[in-house]
Amino acid sequence: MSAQATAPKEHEVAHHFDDLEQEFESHRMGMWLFLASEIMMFGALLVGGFGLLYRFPGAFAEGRAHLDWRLGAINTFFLLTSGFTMALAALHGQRGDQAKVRRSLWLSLLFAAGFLVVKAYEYSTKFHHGTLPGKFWRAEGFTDPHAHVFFGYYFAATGLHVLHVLIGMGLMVWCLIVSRKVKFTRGYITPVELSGLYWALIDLVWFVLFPLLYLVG
Amino acid sequence: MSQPASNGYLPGHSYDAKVLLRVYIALLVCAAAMIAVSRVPLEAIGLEWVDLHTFKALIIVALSAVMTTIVSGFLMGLKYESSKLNTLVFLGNFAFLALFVAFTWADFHFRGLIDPSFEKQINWESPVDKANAAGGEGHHAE
Repeated sequence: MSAQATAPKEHEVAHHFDDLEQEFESHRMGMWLFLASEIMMFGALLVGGFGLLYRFPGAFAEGRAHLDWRLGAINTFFLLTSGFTMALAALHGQRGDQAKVRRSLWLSLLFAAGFLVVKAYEYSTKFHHGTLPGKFWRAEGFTDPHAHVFFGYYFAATGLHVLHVLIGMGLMVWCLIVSRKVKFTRGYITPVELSGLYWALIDLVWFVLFPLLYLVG
Repeated sequence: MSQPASNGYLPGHSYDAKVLLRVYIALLVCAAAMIAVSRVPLEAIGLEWVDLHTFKALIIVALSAVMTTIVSGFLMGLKYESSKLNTLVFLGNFAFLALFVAFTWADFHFRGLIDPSFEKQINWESPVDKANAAGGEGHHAE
């Protein structure tokens, strides 16, 4: 929206690609293969979570009572909304509206930051109560001797997820920088499209983590 | 240079604002339903004849699957792909995950049967018990 020193230039197809189609589809497929490796990594984490739930149902029931599902619901809203605004950024990119692309990216960043604020609040209450993993545990009054297992899993799973949220926000910032240099067109939205794919994966992981930690049981 | 391919093809699917809005609303509804199912006391409406624990979990898993399908299809664009190669990659993921789940479940379920001493081999020193015991000595009083 601010005054630009140099107008964004049209994207040029890299010399090793025949045309925009080949370039775009190659980039998209590369991203999907990367996302596949991400899904396998999170898959191991989630299968581990279900295994622990199966092994220590009492610990999960007791631990869950110490999580606030309303905070989880707010974070679900933040993630869904930022996913929506990321798709809007791609839509405006196809229409060549740089200003609206930037506005959508800023909105996505805002909602992602909202997610982090809620998460930080949740983490701080865990630190306050001492419901920390393994040897750092110092909370009293828990009846299930494996209650720490739930919180160990909670921190491992949400920690990895939060790390991805941070990387996703970094991608949004990168898109904002790119939007000042390159003009998005109906034929070229690759940075926004790929960042949107990454952000959608963060949503997908949350669709399993949220019920596993906050709802089921 | 930055022209569409010679056959007039433009890369990627065309995003539609109306579709995106519907997708967003559908996802919000699914998330709300997920929370509602987990919170509603089904015992109160005469559904005590089913295993509530399993019943609720199944509905939540189904909703989670619906949300995953919506996001991968519309927001990640698998629905609009012409080659379906990325769809294959995505579905292949779940095939391997299913294999992983099967072996993990078998391990969790049967190891104790094959080797009864298994349970005794695990020596979980519980920090929860330790903290509770230390509580009597005024350590980290909450």
